[in-house]
Amino acid sequence: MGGLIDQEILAGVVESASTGDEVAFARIVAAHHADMTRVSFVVCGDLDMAHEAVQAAWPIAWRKLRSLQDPSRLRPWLIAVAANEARQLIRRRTRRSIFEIHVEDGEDAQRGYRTGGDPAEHAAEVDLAAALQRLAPEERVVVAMRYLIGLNSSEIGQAIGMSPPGVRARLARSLDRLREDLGDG
Amino acid sequence: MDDQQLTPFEQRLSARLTTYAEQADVSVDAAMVAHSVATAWPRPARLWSLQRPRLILQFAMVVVLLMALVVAALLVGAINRPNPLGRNGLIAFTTNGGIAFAYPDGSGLRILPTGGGEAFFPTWSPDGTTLAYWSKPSNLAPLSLVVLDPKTNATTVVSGSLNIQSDPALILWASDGRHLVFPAIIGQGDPEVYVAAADGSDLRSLAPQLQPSDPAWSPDGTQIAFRGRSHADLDSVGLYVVGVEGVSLRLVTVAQHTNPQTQPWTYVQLNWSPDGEEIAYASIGPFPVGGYVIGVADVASGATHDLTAGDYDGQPLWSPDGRWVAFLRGPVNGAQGVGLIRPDGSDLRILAGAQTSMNTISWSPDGTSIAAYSPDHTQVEVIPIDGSLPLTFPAPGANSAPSWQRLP
Repeated sequence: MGGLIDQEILAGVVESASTGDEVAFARIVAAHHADMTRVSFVVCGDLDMAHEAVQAAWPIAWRKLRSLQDPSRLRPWLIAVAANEARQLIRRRTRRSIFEIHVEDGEDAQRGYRTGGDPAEHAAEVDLAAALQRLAPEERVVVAMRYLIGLNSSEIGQAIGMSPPGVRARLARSLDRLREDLGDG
Repeated sequence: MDDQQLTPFEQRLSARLTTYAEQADVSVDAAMVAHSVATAWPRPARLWSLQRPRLILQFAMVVVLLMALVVAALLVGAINRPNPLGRNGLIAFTTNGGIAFAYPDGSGLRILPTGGGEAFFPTWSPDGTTLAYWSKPSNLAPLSLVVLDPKTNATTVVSGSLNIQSDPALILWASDGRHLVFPAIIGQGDPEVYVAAADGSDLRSLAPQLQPSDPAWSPDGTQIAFRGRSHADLDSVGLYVVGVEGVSLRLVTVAQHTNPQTQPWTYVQLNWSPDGEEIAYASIGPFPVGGYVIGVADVASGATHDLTAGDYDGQPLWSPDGRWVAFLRGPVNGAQGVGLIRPDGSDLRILAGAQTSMNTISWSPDGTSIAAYSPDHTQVEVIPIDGSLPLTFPAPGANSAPSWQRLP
């Protein structure tokens, strides 16, 4: 995605935001909110939880932005913060043993759930959602960062604190399971 | 697992994930998200490490010492070097969702949400206590001229119930800080210039028979200059002066146009010199040579002379001390910038690194810098006139022009 904030001025924006510049921070929000929400959605499989995760991620980013040494790593870092919040939400929900089963209803369109459209496409999405849910949350994080956002294993590793070979191994395991569950390949 | 090349299965998975994740796409107001986060966590990261009481005490002592030094320096400065130009205060500018204020280095940012819609041309009063701006609540709504007290957020609509359908334009305060003048087109009508008191009273149209536009206050606040033309002679465009009460109308100089294409661009963007003797303007150059020039008219004699020569120049603005006329040049060959020239046409300079937009600029009250927007309207540029490089700070969604607060 690249160009929402020009790389040449990214460092200045990050520096300004890290010292409390609200306008600079708004630019960062505008550039990255959507990606963070998509990754959180893939990680938790629930729209409301995804939005909740990103809402929780922004204050963390605001407070810890100064710890970001390299502004070019902003995007992977923000994605990782959101994904981590999504994982923690899943963990908390699981610990409380509350499971919500989504049943499509008339309010879904208003809430953002996909309705209507091609039944085959819808079925494919259901299959993908089910296959993702059979992965561990940590595996969904690396899958989303790699195949949804397009980060490489080094960027993912730096963002989530793993070595690149470790990321690649986790991705390989996840791919094997997805290939099997999706009947692809 | 190759980072560079995706296998066919990985490509299919990537496409399916992208489609699947589109469900999560919901637009958000980034400015509001940032504002709510910043409001909830008002202290940025820099201060969060000061957890231990001893460090906080040391920090407080240093702050007190520095404040004492600053106060002492200000007192000495006030005694020895009185500054007739005023001190530099906050730069007001528009941004997504509101009017923003920041110090010239970008610090101290504060945003006043305008409740939806857009705001244009925030303009500080001469004493730096209040701010006028155009408000447009929605695309279809007329413009309203609003005066804001930034301390209390109290607002007053001074344009009454006028159905202003023109584009927002420069707002000008009288030197007494109690009256404003602004151009407006009501409905589908002709151009007009209105004077209003800042408390919302005394709204009136000036010399409507001349289709006035581009008003400028005299420095003593008793007269208003404007560009006008009469129904009787639509080929002539004049630079007029009228008393603030609407009397003592006088034609300063006139230009005849046989080419209607050039007429709208003669004697526009007027700006009165601080000594009250001259009025700077922008005009299209002699046809067919063209080009836009900065000119100066002598108010008493009506004599005019061009300061620049046929480039794409506009928005002349006298420096607070009257020693310079700043203007915007460009885009010429893709470049544009801020120019400076002496009132006698000498010493032309194009300031280094200033690639500003073609909107109005604002002098710092101390006359050392100029505030402008970057060409993409995402930054405020603070441009020193000594030729050193500009400072910039982010201003996403900036429009119209910034305004620099004058402190006593």
